[in-house]
Amino acid sequence: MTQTAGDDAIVVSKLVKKFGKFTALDGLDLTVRRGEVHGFLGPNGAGKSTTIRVLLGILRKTSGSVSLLGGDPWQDAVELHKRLAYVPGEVNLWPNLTGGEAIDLFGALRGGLDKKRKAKLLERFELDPTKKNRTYSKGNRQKVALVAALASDVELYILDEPTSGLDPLMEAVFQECIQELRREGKTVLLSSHILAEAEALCDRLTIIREGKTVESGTLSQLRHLTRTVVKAETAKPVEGLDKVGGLHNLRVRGHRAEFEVETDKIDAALKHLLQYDIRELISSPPSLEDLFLKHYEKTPAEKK
Amino acid sequence: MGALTGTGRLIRLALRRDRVKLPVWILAIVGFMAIEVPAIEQVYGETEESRITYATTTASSLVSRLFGGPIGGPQLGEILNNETFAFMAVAIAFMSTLLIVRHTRQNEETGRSEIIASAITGRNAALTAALAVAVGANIVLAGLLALTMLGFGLPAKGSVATAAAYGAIGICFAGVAAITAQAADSARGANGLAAATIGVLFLFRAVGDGLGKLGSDGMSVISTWPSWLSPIGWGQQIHGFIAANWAIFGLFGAFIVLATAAAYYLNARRDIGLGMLPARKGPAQAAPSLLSSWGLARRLQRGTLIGWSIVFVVMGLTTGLISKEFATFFESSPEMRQYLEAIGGGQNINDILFSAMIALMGITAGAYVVHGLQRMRSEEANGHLEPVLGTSVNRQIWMLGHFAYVAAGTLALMALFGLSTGVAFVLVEESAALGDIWRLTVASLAYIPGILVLGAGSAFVFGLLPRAAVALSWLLFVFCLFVSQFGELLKIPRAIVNISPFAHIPPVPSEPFAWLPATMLTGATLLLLAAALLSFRRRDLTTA
Repeated sequence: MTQTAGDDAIVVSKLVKKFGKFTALDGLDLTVRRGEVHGFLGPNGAGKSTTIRVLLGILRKTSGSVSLLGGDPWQDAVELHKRLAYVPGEVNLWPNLTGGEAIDLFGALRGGLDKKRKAKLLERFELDPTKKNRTYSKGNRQKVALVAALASDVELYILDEPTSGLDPLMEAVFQECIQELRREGKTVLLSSHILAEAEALCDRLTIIREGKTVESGTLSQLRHLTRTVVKAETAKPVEGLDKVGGLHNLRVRGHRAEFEVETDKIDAALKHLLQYDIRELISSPPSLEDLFLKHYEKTPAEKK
Repeated sequence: MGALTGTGRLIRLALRRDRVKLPVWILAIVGFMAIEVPAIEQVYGETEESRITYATTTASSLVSRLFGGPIGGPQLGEILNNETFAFMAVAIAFMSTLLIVRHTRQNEETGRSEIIASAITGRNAALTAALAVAVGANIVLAGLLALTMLGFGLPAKGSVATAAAYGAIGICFAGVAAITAQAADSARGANGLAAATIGVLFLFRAVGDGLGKLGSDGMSVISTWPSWLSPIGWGQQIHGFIAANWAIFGLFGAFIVLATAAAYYLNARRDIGLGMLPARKGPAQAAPSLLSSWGLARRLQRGTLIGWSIVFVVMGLTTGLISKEFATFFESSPEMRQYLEAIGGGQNINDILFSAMIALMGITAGAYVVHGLQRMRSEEANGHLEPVLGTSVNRQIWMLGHFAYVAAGTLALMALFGLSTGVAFVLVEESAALGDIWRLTVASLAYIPGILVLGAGSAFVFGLLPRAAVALSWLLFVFCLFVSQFGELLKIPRAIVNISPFAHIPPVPSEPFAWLPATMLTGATLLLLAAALLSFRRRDLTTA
């Protein structure tokens, strides 16, 4: 597989999508490199599914530029779709077809599917393909869509919250499958709410909120932007901490100090504390949760 | 907790959801009545003489018997009922069946019922609430209709009896829909089954009235037994403006009690979200014939077409079987001979019957076309279309697949009707030749160019205004039905009547097939279809 710099599977720039007066996407940017698993995160209603639908040519962009596998997803939808597989966020299947029929149908409409792979996936996901779709639970309907997508040999997999109805065992199977795709050099765009899943699978992440991209990068790059929480108790009362740059929510009460510190200021802050004889020190590294909460929560001004 | 706990709240919920829909239905039906009464009085009812002429000609007119009903005498109210009752009854029946399905099966399909059932509501609460709203709506409707007729000075007894019959018919069909909502496993299926029941019961009375004897005064029709198999027929037998037959309301009562009892029985014996038939296992692999966008369209459309085929074959056989009796009856009637000379110029009597029935089934096939093409909208709204368009399926090819299937289905339905009419005709009529089967099959295809214009119009509306597509497509159909039924009576300008594609097709086989209008209609179909494809290509997909 040729992988040159700038060889991106998806490039979205300043994408705007309006529904009447409502602006769903408001200048969104998203870049997915070939061969990476890219996490696409954001709170409910942020515009993840809308973005994916624009990428599939199901919705028409209002403005901005969108490039998918080097083509225009609106103009070249049919040709591009031969090279990708899609799992929708809410899987609705024809009630009177069986799961097996739906899998074969999607595979054929995409241009064919690997029968051996399908059989293996059915086994791994423990899915009975002879049942009518109307009798499947939400999780089983999702498995149908997943098996149909994963059994197709394509370049790009677009998965919109594909595991929201799966149990932990199946979640593990799903993660194995994605790791296999990564090894094969496939590109995956994975929209998700499950932080552990994103942490385990994604090479890079894009976080959006209210139709705008707020962060994008590798997990460690994103972590870099967050702060470590430090709680310290000292022998002598702490003074002058506010002179150290990069500290937030600083609270000093006599022998106790609590603050959040930006990653590149940790050293300076600790050196300052050492002057007051540290007796106890608790430092919590930034978790992915903190990262999300930082972006998901509305700022006080927005809350009104 | 009783089985009815929470019914009151669900009634309020249903009324809140229907706060626009239901008043529009009721006002449209009452408004239609308010336009019709003075129009009919002006055209037919001004003098005793004109009323007698009307009663004499309609009593012996086959078309009037099939579409209107059994006239009872030369009273203005009887003339009004002969002109409007059948149409009004069908409209009221649809109001009730759509209402019931909307508040029962549709809620199950969308998953709303699960939330409702998990709250403090009884097993029968949802069904009871839907029925209560339907009964209430029909009582209000009947009251307003009675006031309208009284307001125009029609006799009190007849106005009340007629209005009560309308209300009772509405409630009967609410009961029918309460059963179909249990039997089918989707809202679309339940509505389709209910619509087919309305159609069959309408046709029962059409056959019963058509076969009826001419009264001794020459101004009334004594219907035969098939009319008594249908609530619409019962309503027409009340003849409130002559000597109201109140005992018939006992039949309505019995029908309503039996239908609702059956619905409750079924409701108590099935699982939420499922129909009566247990879900069986199916193939683990798809047949090769399914594996394309066209194959999927075929699979999704198949059931609808099979259902409609049964109706068309039954109607064809019935038409063929009664043709001989019609001929005997009409040849014995001097009024009828006059009538035939007036409209057909001394044509073959059987052909007059066949022309009338082909026209009726042509419009009925229009309902199939609209019903079948609605599948496109329900596929989109249910979220089935999105993953399909996520594959390399082209939107236009997808739409053409459905259109082609429905167009072929229309051809099949009309050909089946002509074929079964011909076969039955040849069996009962010694003078008929085998060639008549072929002749009738070909003749019944005459309406196809017109039907397809309606289909292409329906597809265009879907391409342009997806959210309004269902309502607007049915509106197009009702418009065609309306101008063909009432265009002449209401003196609707020819220019407006001509908007209906059916207005351009001559009555075949009594008149020869006309190539020019057929070619123009086909041109219109192609233009509308191109517009449908273009508009669908350019728009966003919209779910519910």
